[in-house]
Order: sequence, then structure tokens, then C-alpha cells
Amino acid sequence: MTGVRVHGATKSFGRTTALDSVDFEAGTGVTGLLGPNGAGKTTLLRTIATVLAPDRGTVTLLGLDPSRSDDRTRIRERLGYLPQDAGFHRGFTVFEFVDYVAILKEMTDRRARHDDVRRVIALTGLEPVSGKRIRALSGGMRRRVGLAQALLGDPGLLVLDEPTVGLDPEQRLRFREMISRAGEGRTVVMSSHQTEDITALCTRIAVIQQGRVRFTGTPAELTAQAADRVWTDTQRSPAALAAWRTGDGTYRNVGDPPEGAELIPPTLEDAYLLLMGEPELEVTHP
Amino acid sequence: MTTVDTAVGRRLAPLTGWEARRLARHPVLWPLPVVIVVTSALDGATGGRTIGYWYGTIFVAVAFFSPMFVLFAANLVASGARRSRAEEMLNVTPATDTRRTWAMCLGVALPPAAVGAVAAGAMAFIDSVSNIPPQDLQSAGELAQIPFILAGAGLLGVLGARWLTFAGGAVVTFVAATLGGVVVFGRFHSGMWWMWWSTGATFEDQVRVPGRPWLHVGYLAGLCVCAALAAVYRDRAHWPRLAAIGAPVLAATLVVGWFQVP
Repeated sequence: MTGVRVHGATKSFGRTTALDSVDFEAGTGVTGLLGPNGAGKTTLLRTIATVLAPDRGTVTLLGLDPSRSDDRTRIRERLGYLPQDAGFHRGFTVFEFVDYVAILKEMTDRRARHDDVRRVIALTGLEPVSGKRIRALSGGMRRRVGLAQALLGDPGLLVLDEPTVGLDPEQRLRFREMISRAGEGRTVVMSSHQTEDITALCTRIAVIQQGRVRFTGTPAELTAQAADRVWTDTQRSPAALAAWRTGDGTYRNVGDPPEGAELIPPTLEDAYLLLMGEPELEVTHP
Repeated sequence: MTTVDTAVGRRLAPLTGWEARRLARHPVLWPLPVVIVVTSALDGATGGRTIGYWYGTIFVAVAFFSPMFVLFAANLVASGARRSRAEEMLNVTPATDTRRTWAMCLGVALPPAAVGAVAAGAMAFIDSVSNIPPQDLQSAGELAQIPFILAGAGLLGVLGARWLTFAGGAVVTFVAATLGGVVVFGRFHSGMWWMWWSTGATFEDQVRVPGRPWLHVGYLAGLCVCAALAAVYRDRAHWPRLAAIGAPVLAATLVVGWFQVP
């Protein structure tokens, strides 16, 4: 069963169209959303997390229709959600907050609930600070608390909006570990600005720009879009869409290479840059 | 039908317990014991610590000071998710907004009501073992009002948090409730503002206004239900239900409220 199926979803806020006839699917494993700021990633994730309903189009989550009240409740029983700007009750300890969310997730048996709270706290490496108040934690630790509450109850659908934002490299690696573990046997949809995270974690990706899906496929398929379009040179090439000086003093150029250019293997980031620079291109890999 | 009710109760109970805990340990309540001790000490220093003093101290603590603190604490508990930007994360849980607000209402109303009941019981006990001067004595009907006064303060806090979603909403709620009380009491009685919740005006040298205390209990209970309904059915989608259930309750409350005045 496809965990997430969005068809023709349109969502506007006043005159701003955040989603424009978006088609999107995500099955078991980690699916990544890439796109610039304001592209519509968060709106799409909020739609998938049942926070927003689209103005037009259909959404099916875990085989259920979130526009129906009963279905929405059943989806939420199996949904874990980490919003982009997750806030927490300041006076709660880590255990208390996760326990509070567990109660909201209607885990009525106290012992079973506490066992699950301890499980997700251990899973996210929060055991040493379990009794600490959330206001005393660092930003990275708070993100982990957000992930911990999302993992409660072993959800079938996990929606993570920029889970690695603001984390230091070590924390990001730990988060990758946790998310890849979470993606085993369930549908995970996450957004990120970090192409490294997407490359490391995602089995499929969608690139969104200005409310439209510009690419869907695997990271390798997106990367392949940039084959023969990345080259090194001693200087910035005028033909390049983007170019930057690397650590060894050469320039990495992305665009249409001149004849005889020294081509190098592209990365996902190169392909993403190319896609963003070519607004007419739309690619869908089934 | 029973199965559904039991399931709802089972889901509501832990959440209600949590909200009650949040209220009980809210920092806004911390100064309350200090205020009570200081004011009662000052009162005792001038008037002596007779049995009537302890009787009056309990009454003032639970029926005057506590409601104010409970109102503000309940408001901050109820608005906590919004203020800390946790709302979006909590809103996508299976516990509906309606259920969460019911739990909030019960959590901030029942514990203060229980405290009020204990205090009323203590006052009744003091009265039974000593002779409280008649001008200070609260009748059974007046004592029965105390739990509803405290529950009402909590519910008013939640109501304010649900409808007045700006900073300072709790202050506006408090001022509006106090002014409303002044107007209502001034309209019918001597204008002693602080006794807005009570029919039995027995403050210092003021003339006692008897009223009908048991009807006043019903009036306060009606106000509590009205506040809870207005808080729970805050969203526009629920307004038809609010009107359907709330209008008869409000009408009954106003009728009882009219007949409770002397």
C-alpha cells in the first residue's frame, strides 16, 4: 500500500499559491522533499500531516481519506509529525512532554505508555536528559524530543519537516541514523535543504519549486540529470549556471560545459542546481 | 452506547489528570500561600486569632484570593500550547480539539472544586465545634457555593484562553468578570464589588443580604457549564452545537440567577 498519495493538490493562502496541482506519492522507506525556501515543501508536508486540507485535489494517507473526520482520526492514530518550528511546553521535562503527547495519542494503559515513552527516549538518545526540563536543552536536543514524540506508538507514517535544521555535524549524523532506522517498514516523508541528508537517507525524492513538483524519482536518477554537465576548470566558466572555488583551488562548474572541458562525476547538489536553473524542465520517474 | 462512553472516559481521564497536574504546579499559584499567610497574619494582628478568625481566614483564602490565582493559572495552562508554539504538533494527534478542551476544563475545574469542598467542610466543622458569630456564619447553601466559585475561576481562565487569544487575554477576562460582578451586584445589592459571586453579603459592617443561597449554587453551576461549553465549542464549526446546547443552559442559568436574588 502506498503510504501517501497526493493528486492535483492545490493550496493557496490569499493570493499566494503554495501548492499548484501537486502530484506526489510516497511508499515504504524515506522519501525526501527538496526545494528552495518558499517552494511549498512545508505546505505539502502540513497537508500530509493532516494540518491543512488542500483547496482542490485529493489526498490519501495510509489508504484513508483525511477529509473525512473518522478517517482523519484513524490516520492520526498512526501518524508521527515533527513540524519545522516545533515548540514545546517550557516547564515540561523530556519524559513528561513525550508522555503528554503519548496521552494525546490515546495510549490509555499507563504502563504500556510509559514503556513506549522510554523506548522512544532511548531510541533518540535522550535517556541522560530524560528528567531535564526542555527549556534547559540545546536546539539539537529539542529536535530529538520532537523526533521522539513523532516516533511514539510505532507510526505507519512519519512526516518530518527539516528534521536536521540547526544541528551540528555529529547530531546530523545521529539524526540520519535514527531516521533511516525509522524508515524501515514505514513511510517517512521528510524535507531538507541538505542534499547530503537526502542522498544519505532517501530512496525517492521530489523537488518542488514555486508550488510545483519539478522532479520525482530516485536520488540516482536526479543525479544522472547532471551527467556530463559538471566540470572543473582553473577559472569560473561563463557558461556555468553555478561555479565555486573548491579546496584544491580549481573551480567546480555546473551548466553546459565548453568543448574539451574536464568532466567530473556530478552530485545530487549539482543536479538540483541545474534543475532550479532550468524552470521549464519537469521530470517524473515512476 | 456504554462501550463508547467508557472508551471516551478512559481516554479523557489521563488527559484530565495531566491538565490538573499542570495547573497544580503552575508557578502563578506559588505566591498564593504567601498572600494568604501575610494577609491573614495582618488580619490576626489587629483582630486577634479567635475561632471566627480561622473561619474567616479559610473563607477569604478559598473564596477570594484563590479564584483570582486559579483564573490566571488556568488561563496560562490552557494557552500554553499556543504560547509555546506546540499547537501544530499536538493538533495532529487523535485526541480531538473538543476532547482536549473537555479534559482541560475538567482538569482545571475539578481539583480547585475539591479544594473548595474540603475548605467548606472545614468551615462546617469549625462551626459545629464552636459558636461562630451569626454575622460571620455561612449557611450550608453559602458553603456549597465555594467549590463552584473555584471551579468557575478555572473555567473562566480556559474560556479566556480559548476566546481571547492575544497576550493579556487573562487580564481582560479577569477585569471583565470583576466589572460584570460589580454591575450585577451593584444593580441588585449594596455594590460591594468583591462579593460578586455571592448572595450572602457579610463584609464587615455592611448589611447582610440574604438572597437564596441554594439557588445561587445552581446559578454558579450553570455559569460553570456555560463557560465549559463556550470553551469546548469555540471553533466556528461547533457554533450550531454551542447554540443548541448552550442556549437552554444559559437560559436556565439566567432564570435561576434571577430568582436567587432577594
